[in-house]
Amino acid sequence: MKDFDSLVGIWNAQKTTPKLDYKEIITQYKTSRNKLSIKITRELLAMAIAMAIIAYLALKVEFSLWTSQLGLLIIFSCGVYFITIQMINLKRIAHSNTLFDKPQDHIRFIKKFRAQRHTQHTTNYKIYSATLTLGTALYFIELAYHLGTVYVLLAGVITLFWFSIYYFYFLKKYVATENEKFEEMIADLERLDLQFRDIEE
Amino acid sequence: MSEKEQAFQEIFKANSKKIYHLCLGYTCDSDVANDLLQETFLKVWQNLDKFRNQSMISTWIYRIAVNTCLTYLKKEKRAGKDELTPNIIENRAEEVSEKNEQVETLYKCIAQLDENERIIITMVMDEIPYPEIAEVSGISEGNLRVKIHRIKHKLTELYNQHERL
Repeated sequence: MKDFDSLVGIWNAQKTTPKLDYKEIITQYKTSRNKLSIKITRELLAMAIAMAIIAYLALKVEFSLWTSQLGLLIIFSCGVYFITIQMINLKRIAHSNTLFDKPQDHIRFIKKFRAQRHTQHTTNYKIYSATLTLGTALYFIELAYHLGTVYVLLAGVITLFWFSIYYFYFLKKYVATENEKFEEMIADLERLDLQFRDIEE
Repeated sequence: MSEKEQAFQEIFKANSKKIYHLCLGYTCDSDVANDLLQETFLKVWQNLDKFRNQSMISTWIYRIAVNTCLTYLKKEKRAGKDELTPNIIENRAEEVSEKNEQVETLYKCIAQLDENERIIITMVMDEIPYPEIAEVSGISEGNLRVKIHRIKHKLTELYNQHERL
């Protein structure tokens, strides 16, 4: 039979030490900071190219129908939305200082952040896809006059097919997996929150 | 070496072992504990300037470590509550002695506690003053004392049960 003091004795005698050096941490920090910068730059560059092409089309090509310009404007807005959301998320992750909060507050922040991410990945993404489809459809109206109905119908069918596959299969599967993951995570966080609640005992 | 690096080296030297024990007690896996330790000190390095003049820097580091451990949820389930992962066993198999077996049993028992209990008891065993534990865990000191009393009793019972097996 051992008492608690004996357990403390065992604890103090342990030889477990971290396999980590302070220099590794500094190197790791510099590497991850570079990775984050590269990621941001790459995403910004890709979106800037796409938006420049759209802006060029909208300004240089003489469209005979207003629907084309509106379509391009909608697609352009979708691009702005995408890049803004990406930037907000990256900034929030990089500057999150809730690690210094009390555990309960940190858990609450994580729960809120997960819920926001879930909304972004599901509801907002549906609206984003629908708006992008609307923009593309409006742009196709004028194309029909120039390329002929057959080509436009073909392009329309391919686009519609892709959006249907995406919406009814990939998005549904993604949402289901996300839901399962979030529910499990929220349950874990709630359990932890309960453990740390300063209740009168 | 810059002044910041020197300060960080000193802070790492003074706190890393205890923080590692906290992470190991929480996860029961030496690799994961090292990862959590790294994540904790990454945050320390990142925010060092803000806390350079604070007297209780260890409290602040513990707070980061606790939150980092708590955020580590998904993989925690794999560690199980009553089994040591092969990792920790392998790492200690080098030198099988009675002392090592006792340490192993102790970690096995800590793994059976609730998450907050694991965190609190590792701090108690590392002789962190109660007001500091209360500050880190966000639990009032009076409430903490009651909790600690219960956890001590629970852990001692678990350990003695294991020894009888």
